[in-house]
Amino acid sequence: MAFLDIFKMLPSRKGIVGINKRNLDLIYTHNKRTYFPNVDNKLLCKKILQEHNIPVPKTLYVVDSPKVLKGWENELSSLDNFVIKPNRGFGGNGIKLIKRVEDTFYSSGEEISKDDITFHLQQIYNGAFSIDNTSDTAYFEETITNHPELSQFTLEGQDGITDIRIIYQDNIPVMAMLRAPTEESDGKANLHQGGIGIGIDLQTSMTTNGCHKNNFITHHPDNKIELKGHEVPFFQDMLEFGARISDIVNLGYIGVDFVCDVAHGAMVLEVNARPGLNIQLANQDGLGTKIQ
Amino acid sequence: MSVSRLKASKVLIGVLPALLIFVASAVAMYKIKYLGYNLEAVTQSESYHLEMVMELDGHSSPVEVSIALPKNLPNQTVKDEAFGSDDLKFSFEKNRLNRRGKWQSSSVDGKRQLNYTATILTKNIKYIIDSTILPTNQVPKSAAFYLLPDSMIQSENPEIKDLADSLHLSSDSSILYNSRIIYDFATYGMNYVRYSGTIDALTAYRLNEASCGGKSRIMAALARYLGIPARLVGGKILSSGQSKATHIWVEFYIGNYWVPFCPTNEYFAEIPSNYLILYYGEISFITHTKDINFKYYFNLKKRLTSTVAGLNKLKKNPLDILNIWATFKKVAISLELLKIIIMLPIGVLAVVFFRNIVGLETFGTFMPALIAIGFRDTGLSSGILLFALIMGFGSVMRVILERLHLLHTPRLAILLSTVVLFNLGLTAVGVSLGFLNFARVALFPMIILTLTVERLSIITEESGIWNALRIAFLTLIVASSSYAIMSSRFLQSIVITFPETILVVIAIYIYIGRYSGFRLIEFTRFKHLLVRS
Repeated sequence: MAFLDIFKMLPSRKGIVGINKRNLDLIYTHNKRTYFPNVDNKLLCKKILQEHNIPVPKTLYVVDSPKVLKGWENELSSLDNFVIKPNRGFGGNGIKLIKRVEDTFYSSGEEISKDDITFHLQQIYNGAFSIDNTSDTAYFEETITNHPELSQFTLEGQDGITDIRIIYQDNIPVMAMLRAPTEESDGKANLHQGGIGIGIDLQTSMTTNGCHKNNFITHHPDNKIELKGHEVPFFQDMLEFGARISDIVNLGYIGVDFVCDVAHGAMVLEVNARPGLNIQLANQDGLGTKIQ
Repeated sequence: MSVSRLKASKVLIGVLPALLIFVASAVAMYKIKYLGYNLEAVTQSESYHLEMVMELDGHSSPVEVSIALPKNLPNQTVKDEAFGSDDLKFSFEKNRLNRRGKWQSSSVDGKRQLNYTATILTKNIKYIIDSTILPTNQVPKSAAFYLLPDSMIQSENPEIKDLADSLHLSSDSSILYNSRIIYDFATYGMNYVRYSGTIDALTAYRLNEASCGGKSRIMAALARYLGIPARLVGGKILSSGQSKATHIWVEFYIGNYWVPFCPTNEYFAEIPSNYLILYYGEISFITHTKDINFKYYFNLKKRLTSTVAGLNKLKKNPLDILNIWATFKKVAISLELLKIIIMLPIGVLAVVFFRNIVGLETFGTFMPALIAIGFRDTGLSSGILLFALIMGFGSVMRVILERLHLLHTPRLAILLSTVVLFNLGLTAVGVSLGFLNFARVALFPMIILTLTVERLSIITEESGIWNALRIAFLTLIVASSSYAIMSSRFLQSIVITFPETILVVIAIYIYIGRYSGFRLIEFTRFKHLLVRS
């Protein structure tokens, strides 16, 4: 095993986990394939979490058959804001935030017709965004309104939402970060699309410095506010909810994404069985020093 | 997973690769020791598929085309000959030394394509010249003709005589000694210049420069002057690809053998394994009627042929894998096809290496290996060009299809259909322009290409054209590496002869499959974390 060990020495001394180590030592050993659908199927995940009194955003309408493709128009006629999601999507693909102003719909700042929305539902139903390209369910979900403490990380007039990712190993929180959209990421908080990650001190609930792409940053690249020293609201609630989730979904190593709604407080947006590694850059620390 | 099961699997993972390598070596050793397998027998059997393509355009006039054809000789075997003659009549013309193919018709109107194809096996022969043979030895009647001067080899010319004297050639010394001096003069004493026309011995000497023909003729002139019979040999240097050039070298008659010398590429008393003899003497390789816009070229492809000859010597045995491969012919699985199948586990080594150790992103997991199989038919450079063309075409098609608002699967099916039509179009263009490698794009794996176009388009939409191009470029790097492994004739020989190599490769995959260190690109990704104090 000598040859490849050269590439192992430095990272393991620094406690930094790479993709190979994450897959071998964290995901494959802690998460059984059988239980992946508990989190990959988002509607199922929400249902399980709700049964255990963990708050999740409300599901407004479900498209699980071509017959009900157009039903949303009547069902949601009194709502002005909602999100469309594929049930078994991945990497944020196929998610559309919709806003209604008078009788016109907008998505990512552009006008969108009712037919376009129905077509998007049909695309999801046909599996265009599902993780294995098989037929999928589309659903409408209520829109989250950022808690004011968190909305300072998003830009004025941007649809984007700030979320909090906490990684748990066997019910113990290991690392946490706050993810905020940037101009570059077009409202999405995903780090690989240009969002920023800000470390969170698990003891104090306070933000630390962060990362953008592979670089360390101290200020938001767009509005220049300092990243350090903000208290994450409802963080103790999140830690507590999250610590129960591993047992609920039967997965030992998970990343839980929380949002902090102005009206409802902490809610679980989704659970991830293959959480990414950039959380290490956001916290400027290796996961390897925190896990057994 | 429980701790004890984890431990058990760790033990298994430690033992399994060792076991696989042990079994593979044991089987290989058995085959070498008891079945007489050896690598040499396999690696030698290289062959070429030779194609000679001729095009002409007649104006309701008589047409006659004649080319020199290779024949079986000690250094070369010619098999599976075929002639394409359109509506012209084909016939052989033979004399004692040469064999020609002749196409003729009393009236040809319009374009015609003629061709000759054959499988060529050649080998290297080195001659050891008996140092006791003198130029004064008796020459048999059959060779005496090659002592006479002619208009191209002016062996009686005073300038040639002076040259012979100044080189201290002597009929009292051995032929070996004189041959060496003559060879050294033509090889190192004259400059090499690429001429398109024919140049005679005397002119070459006066200019002190010549191409292969001139160098060979001056050698022949000096030899004949000394009393050594000498003749020109015309042939083709075998190497994959399209070309027009033929080559000339020379043979001296020494002690009942015609011994070859090539002053151009420096072979003394040796014919290398990539020389194919087409004709002897001062004749034209090709002759044709004038004013018919005549064009021709060779198209050569290197192949590894079946070792059937060697097979028969081997004993019947369940481990005698070469015999088993031979039976595959019954179900139309040729050795060529078998090679593609059997090299796949080795070819994906590049994919595994680049993904898990280097950490490169590619379209799909095994897509690069499948693209590499496509390259087998077109060659690497044409393959890469074609890949780029198809990706460009596909991306444009997808933008158009996007506007039609179609469902996912039917849209993919349309994309596939247009890619198929586009590839067939490229093939038609390739054939008509004579770019045969290019034309073989019709054999590309179309479904794989279609899915690659789809991935390319999705990535372009999601993260921009530059990211998509970057991944396309990385995919090509991995595909090219995979191609290099799969098309290596040396590796092919090893794997065909010793398929147990695949067990060793599986052992490597287990080893890499348990590698939990950084992928190389992660050193960049986490560089700030790594340098943090």
